[in-house]
Amino acid sequence: MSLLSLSDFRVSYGGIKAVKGVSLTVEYGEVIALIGSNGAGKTTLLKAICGLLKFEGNLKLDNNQIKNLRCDQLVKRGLSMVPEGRGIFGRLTVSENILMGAFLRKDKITVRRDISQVYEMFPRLAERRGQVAGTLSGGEQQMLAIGRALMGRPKLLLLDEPSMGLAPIMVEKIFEVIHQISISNVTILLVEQNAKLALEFASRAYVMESGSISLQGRSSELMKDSLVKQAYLGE
Amino acid sequence: MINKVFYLEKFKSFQNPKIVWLGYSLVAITLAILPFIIEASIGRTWVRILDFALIYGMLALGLNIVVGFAGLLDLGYIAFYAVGAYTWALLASPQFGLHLPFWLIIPIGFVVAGFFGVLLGAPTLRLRGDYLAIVTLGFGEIVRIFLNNLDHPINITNGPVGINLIDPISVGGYALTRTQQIAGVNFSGAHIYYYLLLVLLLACIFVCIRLENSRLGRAWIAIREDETAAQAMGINTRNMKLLAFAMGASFGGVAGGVFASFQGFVSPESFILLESIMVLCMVVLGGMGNVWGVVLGTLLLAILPEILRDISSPIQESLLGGVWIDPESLRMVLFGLALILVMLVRPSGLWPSKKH
Repeated sequence: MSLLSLSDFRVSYGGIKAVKGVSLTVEYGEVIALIGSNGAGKTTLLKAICGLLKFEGNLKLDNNQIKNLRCDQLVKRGLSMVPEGRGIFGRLTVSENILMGAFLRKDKITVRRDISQVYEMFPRLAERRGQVAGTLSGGEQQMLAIGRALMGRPKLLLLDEPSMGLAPIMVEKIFEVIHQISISNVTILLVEQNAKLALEFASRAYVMESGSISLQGRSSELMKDSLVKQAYLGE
Repeated sequence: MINKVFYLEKFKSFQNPKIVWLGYSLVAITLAILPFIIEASIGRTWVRILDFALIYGMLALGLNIVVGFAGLLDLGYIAFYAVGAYTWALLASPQFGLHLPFWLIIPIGFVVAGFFGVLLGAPTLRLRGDYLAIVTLGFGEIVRIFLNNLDHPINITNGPVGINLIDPISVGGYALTRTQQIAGVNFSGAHIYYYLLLVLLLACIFVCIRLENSRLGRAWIAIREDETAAQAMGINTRNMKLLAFAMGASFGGVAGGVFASFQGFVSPESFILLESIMVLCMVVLGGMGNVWGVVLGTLLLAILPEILRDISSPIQESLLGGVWIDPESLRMVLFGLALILVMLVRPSGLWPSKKH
């Protein structure tokens, strides 16, 4: 039984088919990478999985068939997303942002414990907890977005381009954290343009090309694949 | 370091319950005797102006829920005021021969206006910013035009003529618009309504402050900041937006009802687009999202044009030796200038919300 499984998954914007029949599975505890070039449909796929776009086909979460659920209903079922471009609440403070991640939770004591865990994971955020989030650097905003998503206690964390627009040293830090999160028993589906980095961290990966999956397999094998090397690793 | 100590001292004085209570009672006494001071110093008409300022205050607080908290730009807000006013007018006037008591009409107005809020909200859920503004503007005009034309085939609203002889609020057979003698002091209708409106406004302020710091308020603010991210937090944005429209509209509905009962007369003319814009100006100028800022903005914008009306002729006479410009036009020019000036100097309002 897998945590997330898609089959014949299709998404279209009006008449344009952006995702054309994708099949994909994510097992419990895995880190899965979804790589591909610009415009391959990765973000669209992710948005449809978390209920922001309508889809056709099958989506099973935790062995339940999901159809026509809104984003907020999926959050209740253990799905958290870090949207592309982070989507932090710019005029709220860091601590207010983090608290917002626990919007659906009523267990105040454990929420408080989770908040201190997030601050432990990101000491930088603890230093700036009273600061307005819009004034944080790009990397700090990404940390905040991840920390906030963790406040929802997800079973499955969807990350959309966490490395986008960040300095290399920041990217490294973010991926270290992603690794930490995956050890703590959160399953991760990672969309990334930086294929090399994604393949290093993920156990398995899917390669997406113009709306469908062109390749899939263990990361270590994909890294050796000549096509992947040529098209995505620049070797 | 010195600054820090000073800050702590200042903070302590705010914490001291005695000083806090002294402050509250001073404010309460001032508010209680304000209409008498005003009547004695600048005349009875100013008590009426103050009453209207309080009504505008309720409107601005209602609009602040929609625009300030939830970030939904609404240019047709006055429609809900109209709905509230006409609800009162139809239920307590000779128009249909109905004369329901105020304690029944106020909740009815609240619900009817809230329903209209949802009616506007439902089709506009997917719209943002400018597009939402256009639709809400249209909605405001539709309501006004309906009121203007619903005199045939069946006469409901009396059309452009409006509805007259609307019942005032009356308690135990005493109409509150008549002068009443209480403990040897004469209270005119404007005075009594002042206290009534003050209580209503304070209730609105209380509700708004509680809302802002509630789960609901946080959900609205999240939607305002980033709707997609708000959804990803598990916020049901559809219901939250509808609720913002409904709550804002209900405030407008109650304000409209009280306005109708105070004025004794309603006509579609009172609910033109300019009124919507005026209320929006109060919210924006005062400080969107901050309840006290909105109250301040309302008081200024409701009273400033009246002051300008009084002084635009004398100033011309003393400066230019005669009235050269029509005082009514000059008043609006000065008013516009004042708005521009404030927005230039304080772009996020006179008393901005800390979350802006």
